[in-house]
Amino acid sequence: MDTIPYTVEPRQDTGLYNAKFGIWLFLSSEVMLFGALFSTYVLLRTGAGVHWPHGSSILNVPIGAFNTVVLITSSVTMVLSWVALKVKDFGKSKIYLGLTILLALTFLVVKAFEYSAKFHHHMFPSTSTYLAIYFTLTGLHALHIIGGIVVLAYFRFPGAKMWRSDPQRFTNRIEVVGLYWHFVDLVWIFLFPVLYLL
Amino acid sequence: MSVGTHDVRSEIKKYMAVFAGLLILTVLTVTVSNLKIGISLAIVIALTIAAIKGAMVACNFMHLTSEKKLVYFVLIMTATFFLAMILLFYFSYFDLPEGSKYVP
Repeated sequence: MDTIPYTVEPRQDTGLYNAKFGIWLFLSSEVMLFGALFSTYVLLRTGAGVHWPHGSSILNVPIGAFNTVVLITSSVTMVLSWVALKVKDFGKSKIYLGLTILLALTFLVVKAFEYSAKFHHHMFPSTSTYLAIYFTLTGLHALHIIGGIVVLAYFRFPGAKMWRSDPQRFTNRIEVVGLYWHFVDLVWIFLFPVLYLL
Repeated sequence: MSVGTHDVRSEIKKYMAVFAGLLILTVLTVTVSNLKIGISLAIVIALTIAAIKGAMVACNFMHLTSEKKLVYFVLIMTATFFLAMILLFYFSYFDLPEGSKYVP
């Protein structure tokens, strides 16, 4: 057969379908990536001693808090989209997936306004160490959001036809992209207090 | 594996409860940050709340509480190496060459 194995049925040795194991391995590598950058932040800050600005003196806390709520909500709509597929409600799943994409885009738009406000005030990554690590951390996170939107949009629109041909495999795809999306939310849950509140 | 409607309703209720909890903890994080406490305490409290929020997302939305042993093994390995990396950064702070110092 030409079909890819273990897209639905679990492997005997792992107990999982392959994509689920794969995404957890990928997320582990992402932990090391963002972990390294968080470590960079810690090292830069402790090295600066008292000469490190309080986050709220440079960044807008209400905007950051709003974006946190947006991403948390998108995580909820993401998991609800998967649950809808588990009970075979494709219509509802599409609605929740669409909402997830809209919330993700909202996050990006708000981030774009934040960045452009900084640039307008001549505050660039090269301006200070704080801004360098701020733009690096949030920039890499934003790239992850963009990547997630691309995949979510694919599943919402052209990729959705797999629901007709192989519904269980499609459900698993939504579960896997959901895991990625929750991780992106998790990173922001740590980024927000570290950069905006401390 | 299909899920019965009854299970789904209780699952959704759980997700909404977690959602509410996450929102409350977000408000708490911002509120605490406005208090006049020292930076060390602020860091500890902020990261503790963030860790609780992260655990809520991981256990409920990512279904980590009912995962296979292999996934737990992978994540424990990740946590171990992550901790090792943090310690490397931490100890390097105290390990400067002779005569050099950090300049803010």
